[in-house]
Amino acid sequence: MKKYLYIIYNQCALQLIYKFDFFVGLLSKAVQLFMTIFIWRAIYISNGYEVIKGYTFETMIMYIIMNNFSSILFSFEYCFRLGQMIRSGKLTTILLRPISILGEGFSYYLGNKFIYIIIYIIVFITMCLQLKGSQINYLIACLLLVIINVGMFFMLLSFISTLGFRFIQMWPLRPILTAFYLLLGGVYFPLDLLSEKWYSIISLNPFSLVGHITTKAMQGFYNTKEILVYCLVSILWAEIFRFFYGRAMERGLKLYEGMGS
Amino acid sequence: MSKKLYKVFISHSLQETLIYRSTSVFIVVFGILFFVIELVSGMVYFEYTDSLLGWTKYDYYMLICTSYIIQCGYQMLFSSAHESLCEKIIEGELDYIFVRPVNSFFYYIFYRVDLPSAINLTIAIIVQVIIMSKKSYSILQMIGFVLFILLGIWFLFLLNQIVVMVSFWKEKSSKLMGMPEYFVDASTRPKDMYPNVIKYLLIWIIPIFTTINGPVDILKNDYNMVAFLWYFI
Repeated sequence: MKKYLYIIYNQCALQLIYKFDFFVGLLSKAVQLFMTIFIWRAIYISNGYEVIKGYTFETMIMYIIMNNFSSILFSFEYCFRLGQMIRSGKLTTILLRPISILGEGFSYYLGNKFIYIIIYIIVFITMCLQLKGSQINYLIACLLLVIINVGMFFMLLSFISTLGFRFIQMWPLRPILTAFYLLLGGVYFPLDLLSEKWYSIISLNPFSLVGHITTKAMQGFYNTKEILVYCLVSILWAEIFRFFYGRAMERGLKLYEGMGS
Repeated sequence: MSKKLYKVFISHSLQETLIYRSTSVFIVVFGILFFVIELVSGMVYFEYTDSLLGWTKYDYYMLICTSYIIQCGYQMLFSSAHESLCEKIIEGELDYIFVRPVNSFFYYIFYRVDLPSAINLTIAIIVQVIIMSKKSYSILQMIGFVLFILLGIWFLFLLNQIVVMVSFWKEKSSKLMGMPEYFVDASTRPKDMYPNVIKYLLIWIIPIFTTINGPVDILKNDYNMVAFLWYFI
């Protein structure tokens, strides 16, 4: 366990050393956030709407801010790490170490996102206390959903990263994964604005669980039971990704030549 | 830098595309998907409004398409150069470019052509032509539109070039490399929806709004000549 804590600590320290990169990353997210806020502002202004499908302008803005912040925590940089290690041959050094490759990856991911996780927890507690201060069960259910989502999302990233065994260039994946998150996670617009038929099809996808559903849970749109159902769905997704990750790694390692290309 | 050398670069790029076929297909398919997702978002926005501060659904789609053409054009011609340049600066491999008996600048910017992006570019142009065919435009508007798209590609090159140069001073600035992309993303929406401060910044300081919104403004006959002149300068 201690070795994993060291990895978390090292990654966290690395983030703080490269402050410039860290702040530029935040700035880039701010650009995206303002873009979405302004487009919704224009929609509300253009038609003089008070409420759109249950969302007032204020609720909509809060939703967009929270969901955009989630997208920092649930981002896709980690997907490309394995691919880079395969290309450079550095994967061999990880394989040789007496360490679980998945555990090492998870520690790396947590360390990398440590600062955001702290901010996220602070924002999370502030929001939940404002909404359902008296219901401790609701708070615990929300927190549980966030924790399970972190694990599920990590398994999704790990599964996607195994594509690195087959593809030399992984960069085209980045914009498309981001685009999937933007659309299926409900970053551009809350997913329930879609027709009921479409919403029922895509509402339980992994991106929606970490983005749309979690944000709405924090805004107090659901009850405790509903959140627990979402927790179960998230666990199910995590298990599916874990299974496919195992299979893909097994096959990928057979393809891996052990040295850089 | 001669034509012959550029032909060799194109030939190498073609060979590379064909050798790494799956990667190339990957780039094309995902590029198209990204484009479709942008169009779908537009559809959702216009479910709730007919006009977005004067921009119709039709104008909005044209804007998405135009910005995609400019971005694909940049990716096709220059993105490989910028990616490798950043790495070469950090790794200290620039010397190999400098010692060659050719113009170093042209050598590295034209070193590779990203052919999968050329396929995406073609698709985007076809969609743009289909959208444009629904209305009629004057010859001058068409010339202005094409000219501004070409200028847009060149502007994106210059913007990215400036950002890549930061690598000479900052070792780990990968996120900064993505900044032009975020600014371009922001300007793929109608500029009228932004507050005046942002409009001022992105028209007069970094004229990225003129780059992306400009071609569509020409087709809409709703442009600011002074902003265009500033952009040329």
